[in-house]
Amino acid sequence: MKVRIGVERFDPSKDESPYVQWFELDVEPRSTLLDALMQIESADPTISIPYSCRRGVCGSCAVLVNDVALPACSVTMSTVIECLGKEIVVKPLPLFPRLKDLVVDRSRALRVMDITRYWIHRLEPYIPPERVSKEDADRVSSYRKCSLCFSCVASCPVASVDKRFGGPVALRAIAERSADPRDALDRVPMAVASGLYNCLVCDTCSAVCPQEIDVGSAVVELRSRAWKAGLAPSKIRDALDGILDEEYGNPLWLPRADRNAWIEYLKPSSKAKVLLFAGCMASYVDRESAVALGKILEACGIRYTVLGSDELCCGMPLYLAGALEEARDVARRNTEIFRKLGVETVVTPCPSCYRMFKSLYPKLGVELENVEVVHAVQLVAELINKGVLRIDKRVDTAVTYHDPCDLGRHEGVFEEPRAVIEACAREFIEMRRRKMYAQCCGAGGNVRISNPELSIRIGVDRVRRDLPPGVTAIVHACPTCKVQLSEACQRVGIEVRNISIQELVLQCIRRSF
Amino acid sequence: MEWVSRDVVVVGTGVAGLRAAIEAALNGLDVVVLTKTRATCSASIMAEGGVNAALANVDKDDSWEKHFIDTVRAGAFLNDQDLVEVLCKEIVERIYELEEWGAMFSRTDDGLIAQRAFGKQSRRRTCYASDRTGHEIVTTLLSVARSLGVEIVENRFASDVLLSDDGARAAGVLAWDTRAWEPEVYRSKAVILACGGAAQIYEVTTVPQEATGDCYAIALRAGLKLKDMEMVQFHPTGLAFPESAKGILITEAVRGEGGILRNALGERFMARYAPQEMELAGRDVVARAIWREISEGRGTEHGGVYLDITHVPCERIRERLESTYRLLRRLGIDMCREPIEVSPTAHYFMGGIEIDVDASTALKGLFACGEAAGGVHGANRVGGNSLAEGLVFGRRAGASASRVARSSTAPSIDRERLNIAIERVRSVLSRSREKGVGYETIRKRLRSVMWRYGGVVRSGEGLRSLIKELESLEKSLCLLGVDQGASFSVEALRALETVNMVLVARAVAVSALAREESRGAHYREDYPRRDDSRWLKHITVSLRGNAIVVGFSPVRITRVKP
Repeated sequence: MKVRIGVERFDPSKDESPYVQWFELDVEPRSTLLDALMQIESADPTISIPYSCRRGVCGSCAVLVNDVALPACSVTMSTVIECLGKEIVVKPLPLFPRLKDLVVDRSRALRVMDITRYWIHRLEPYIPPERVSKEDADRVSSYRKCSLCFSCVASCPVASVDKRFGGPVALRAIAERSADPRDALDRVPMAVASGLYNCLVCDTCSAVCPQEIDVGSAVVELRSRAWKAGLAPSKIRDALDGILDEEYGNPLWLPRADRNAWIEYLKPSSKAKVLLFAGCMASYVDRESAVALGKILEACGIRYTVLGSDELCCGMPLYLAGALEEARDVARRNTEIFRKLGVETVVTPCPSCYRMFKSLYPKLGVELENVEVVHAVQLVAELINKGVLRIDKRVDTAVTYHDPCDLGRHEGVFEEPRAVIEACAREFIEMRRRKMYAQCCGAGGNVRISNPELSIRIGVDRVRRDLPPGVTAIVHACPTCKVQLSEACQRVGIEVRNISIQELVLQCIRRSF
Repeated sequence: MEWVSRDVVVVGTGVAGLRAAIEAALNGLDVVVLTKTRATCSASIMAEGGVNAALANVDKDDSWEKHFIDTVRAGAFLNDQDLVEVLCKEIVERIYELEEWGAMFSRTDDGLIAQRAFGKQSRRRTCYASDRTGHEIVTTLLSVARSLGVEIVENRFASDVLLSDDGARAAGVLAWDTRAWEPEVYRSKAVILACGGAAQIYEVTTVPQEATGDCYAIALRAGLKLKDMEMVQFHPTGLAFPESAKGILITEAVRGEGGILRNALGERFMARYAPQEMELAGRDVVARAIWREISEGRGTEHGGVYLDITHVPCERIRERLESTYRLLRRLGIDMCREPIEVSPTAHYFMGGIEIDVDASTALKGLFACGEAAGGVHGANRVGGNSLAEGLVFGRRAGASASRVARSSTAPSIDRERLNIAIERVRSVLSRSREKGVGYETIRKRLRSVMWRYGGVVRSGEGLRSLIKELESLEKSLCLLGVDQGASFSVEALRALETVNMVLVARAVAVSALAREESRGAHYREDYPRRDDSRWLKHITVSLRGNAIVVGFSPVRITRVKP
């Protein structure tokens, strides 16, 4: 496979500024990024490239590839090409002073251990043999795998705009001690001070981690301890009250009666096997994406029903805030509603509702029995595939697609939205960072609720860094991402449209209404 | 030139070096640890399987004596038994102390430290933290060292031990700040060498880039003897593909969990070499079998054989072999569905600097521990004993160094020797690669000939031609040049390492030629049998001028005779 790799070279003792040296390589898809860098090293032995253990333990070989930090030994070229393209620029990790080319001076990394008071604090004197349950040991160990490569911090969308954010390395260290039954310190206040509520739970850190440490779950776990201790920020508590309030049932504190406004344009059935579950964002804010989905179903002759003002939040904001008991209650209520309705399929335009129903309800111990959950793009892709939905014309512009974290990185749905867009637009151009390495829009992890200013800055960062030139629209599979990036584009005066994939499809089919 | 004064200087941030530094700090001394790259770059941190200690948590009848016997048997009685005794007795306390410091080992059902069976051991004795035991121990030691105020200095390449005026004592370390290649003198009352082994002299190896035998070379240049340098352990199963991960260890546990070896023709070839034990025969036996299959043309596309565990339920693979599974998946290989291509890989140096039970060397004030030291493992090492050695002898080196440091003042340094040492390094750094030869040419050739003639299977004829080849490489070292010798570059570091590698390779080749028998990891086609009547003794090497001198020393047999 042919690739073009640019290596940013810089020798502080003689170069005035960094410059990029290009290499054309032929790589095996299954070879690693480090293989490619080693090929480059043997072509020009004066290039300094950092590596040591070659198997993801020592943390030396982390480099920045198109703004994503990756441990070069632990990622295949096929992944790099798929998520970052065939032309990449490799730079040194930005967190440390540069020594030469791709090598940085990582001495200060050791200080992380001091800052997080990493050493165990026992209350009782240690007398062997000590007993620790297997479960506790496994959980603590899962956080102790860190190789201090700092790929997570250098890839973290929050850390890149907020230098005070402790970042995944700090939260990981705190989570480890917090999970350790031998440790006597209460680590939760330290977690809150390190920016616990500024984490997007987007899991970019886990995606780049050579050890795949699940920082997202650690954050939820720490937030659940903070929730019980009453340490959650007031904006979060306020939003969650809205979900739990029977009069409202949503984190936006919008009246229940307004929840069915989008249905005015549609003809749902009172009883059907398919339930269109709009979710809070599509019901109240981005109604177009729910309406468009309804119209597509109608165009295909699929009978569907809606819950209208009886629809309840899926519980995702509760889960993300660590209010796990409350999330479980909501999960049980929704499951009961689906069961009573007798639906076989739940289709939603919202990736958060989708992931909540599909993966997080079971994680909370609530199973949706005999109900299949699909996201709108999966259904649309299948309808096109089966010939039920005919694309009659293409939109005559170039468009791009933003991967929502909950649909992409978390649920692995990457191909269906691309297939649909390619069928509907004259040209489809990928964002610079995409799929597993797509940057979060900034609205994840309740950050849009708790810290709107930080949230929008991350959105701005996303469009500024990753929007390909020449596109007229960003196509979305998530109402929240769509709203968020619309605001981000507006704020910095970028003139592209933000539309949902359903709206795009609607423009391309001949309608009978 | 910068002069730094400390009580104790430690070279190397693996398990041995860190444990030594912690001991010195616990004794209230001012200690500095140097590493040429990063604190996390060591062979220790990569150790997977575990660490042996007779805790008797699983097999209740285990004891330090049984651990002793297993170690000496595997070492084919070439171990210095006084060292082995200390190892087996003290490791128990070292493990509990790690746990006290926060290390988390895997547990038994009733919550104790779990212990598993490991090759060639009579009891389930190997404590482990999943399959990342070395990482668990190193990170624990790092955080303890940090909180005790141990100074860990990265980017310092140690090139020489400095001697006192009268040449009778170690007086410090000459190190180079690799960021500008400035010499720095670390003046001290005691020096601890803990910078590991040299398996990078082989083309295919499990070890990190840093394992270039720097401590062996430093010791030889300081006039010390190395012993058992012919005893290099080859692990049977290293990855054959992809290239960047070539040689990376695939743990013995894959065979332990039922993995089967097949050649390119699909034959389960171990039946021909070890019909009883099959895949679970000793490391040396399996390594030689795979070597033969490959060299006789029955190897795979990437020069290996197949290690197949696809018949074992995926659930079990993912649980028991977690990090191997994850590593391979990230490399695009699903071990649940496809076989892994493996080949033998250079893994560990049993030999090293001569030490006594206090980790003292022949030079007063100089101590050695870990892979840098020799004598503990004899002719072959059981899995799980290297981390144990690093912990036990690291602590002992730290304690001994503390005793010396507390009872003496820092000796003044022999300036003439210092200047010669500085000039030796500067001559490489100041020569430009255009006018000379790049390190990569010499290193590539070195690794290739060592692999071919000094590797898994050796012969007198091969070793003689190897020595000739190494001598010509040694001559070419005077042409070694770099692009930029006055600022940081990986290239300059690699060039200086290459000088050490050539020296260590010569020591290995000369020792291997001298030992006219097969014992443990050392296999001579022309002398396929073990011969206790002639060879139950250590082969030692030292440097006279530029020549390697072979000698012999008795094995310290204190408890069990062969």
